[in-house]
Amino acid sequence: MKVAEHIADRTPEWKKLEADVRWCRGSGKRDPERIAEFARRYRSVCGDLSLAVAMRWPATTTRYLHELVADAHTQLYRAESFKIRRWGRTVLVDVPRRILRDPCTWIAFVVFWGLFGGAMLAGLTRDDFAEAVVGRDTLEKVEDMYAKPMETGLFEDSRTAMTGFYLFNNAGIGLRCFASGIFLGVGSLLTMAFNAIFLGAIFGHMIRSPSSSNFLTFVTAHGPFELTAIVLSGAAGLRLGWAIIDTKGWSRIESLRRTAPRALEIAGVATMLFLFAAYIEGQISPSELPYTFKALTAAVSTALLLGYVVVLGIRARGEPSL
Amino acid sequence: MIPSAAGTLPLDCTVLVSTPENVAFDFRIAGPFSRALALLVDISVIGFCVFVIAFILAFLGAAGVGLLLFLMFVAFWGYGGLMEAFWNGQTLGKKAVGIRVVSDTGLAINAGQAMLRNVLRSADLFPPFFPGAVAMLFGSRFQRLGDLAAGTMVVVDGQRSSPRPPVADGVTERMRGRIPAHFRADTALIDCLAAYVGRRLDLSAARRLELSQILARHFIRSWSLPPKINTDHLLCAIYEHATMDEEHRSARRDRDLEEDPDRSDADVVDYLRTLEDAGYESR
Repeated sequence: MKVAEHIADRTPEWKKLEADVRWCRGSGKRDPERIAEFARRYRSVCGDLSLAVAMRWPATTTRYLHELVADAHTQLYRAESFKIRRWGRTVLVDVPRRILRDPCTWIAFVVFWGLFGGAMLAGLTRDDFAEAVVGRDTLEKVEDMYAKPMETGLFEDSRTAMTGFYLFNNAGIGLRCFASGIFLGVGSLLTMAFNAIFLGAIFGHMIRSPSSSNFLTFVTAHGPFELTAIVLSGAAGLRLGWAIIDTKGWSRIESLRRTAPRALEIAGVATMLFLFAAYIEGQISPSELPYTFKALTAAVSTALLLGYVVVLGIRARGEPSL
Repeated sequence: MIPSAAGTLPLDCTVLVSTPENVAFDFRIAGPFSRALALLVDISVIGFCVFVIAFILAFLGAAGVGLLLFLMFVAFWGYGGLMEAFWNGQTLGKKAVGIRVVSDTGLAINAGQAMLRNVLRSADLFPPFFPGAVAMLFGSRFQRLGDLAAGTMVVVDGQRSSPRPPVADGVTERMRGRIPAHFRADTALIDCLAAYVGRRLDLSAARRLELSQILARHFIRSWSLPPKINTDHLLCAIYEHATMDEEHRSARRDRDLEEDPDRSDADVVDYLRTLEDAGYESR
């Protein structure tokens, strides 16, 4: 048989497989008979491809068959689908265990809180430190912001807007901090260090300023979630970068590939924390609720975080970490 | 057998995958420019949607701003990941350009891979160096950092190519009589002809003659054909002759196989050699 005739003969079958691929891509419904037919047709087109390569069919036809088989292959050998139960297990069992046992968490923790504390002390003891770090303009803006008590009801109607802004801005910074960890962890370290020094300097300055009580009242409630979220984002980024340095015998890219999904899960948990923090920062921090309630919020969120990392982390024994 | 990225052709930007069906197919890797175009489409789509939603939410006042910022967060960080995870590795932009994301083993990507490669985009677009663009220059699969970490690659989607069969009209019949019966085309010539026959219908008639002239004049000279002969049809006829020849040979091989089953190994070796001739490295 001539090649042209052979191709003309098989083309209807190929078109049917094309339709099958479109059907698989589009429908959530699974019709077992059609799937069986699809699999059979896929195998027969695989045969056509072998023939095309071996018999040197026209290049465009061979190319077409390569792509057709590739498309069908992707549909036939699907990736595991998203399962909410597995995801729950990841968040409640795997991630806390990893956070607790990963040295990256503790490095990030020490770097962030060390620099934060240092900058705060410097801001407390030296007049010009905060100005040198943050800049006159920003500092004045911050002072203006807290000149009046936050809980005047002034922000009543813009609270949702603020919640949205805190999420967009802070969680965005967190994800960027994680992503920049791929540069051997340097990006995450720098982002964390910058935020620690910046926030620390403002803290130190504001505690000395006349409006310190307004400031502290505002930051208490959402502090634990937000600052922990930054630390976790940084830890996830460090994990990503460290995988390229310490490969445990794999090639660097392979080591990165094996670690990245786990680091992403930690960054995902950090994003959840940013979401909680944004909600508290938008709804509770600027509200007229008594300070005791805000302090209680901070205490409860700290307890939740400790419970999550330490209790769930230690409880989840078994498989080796990481 | 686990499908694996077995070998690549350095200049063609394809990745060979062996399937459990014992068939090797290859993915054509999408180039940086089609990917940039897809990204542009995606950014435009997101921008347009944000604009429209902002317009609608403006009626809700400050609460609308909050909702908008929430949606913007989801759109900026989740759009690519969610689309690729639930829509066959394609975003709207990728669909429009005709490319899709697959795992570099050739399998479909899972949700984790989709999210990872999209979250890492911010590192890839880190100004002023654009590390993703630099990373694409190394390696043969145009993988940016997000792709390297997630183990993914962007390939050309097949949904818009067509088989382009050569026209089986009687036009080559007369020509075939002019080809000496003993003529045997070598594989390089058949590959060249296969490329020509596949593409000729994309060309205008004049261009076909001009192109086919280059190869055909050697045959015109050595077989003493009339110089005014239609070289386009001549090349089609030679291709037909040569591939018929191959099929006759394979039919004979099948016959031999029936008589002598021990030859099956030789048959496999023969097939592998054909693959190698076609440019695949066996690893």
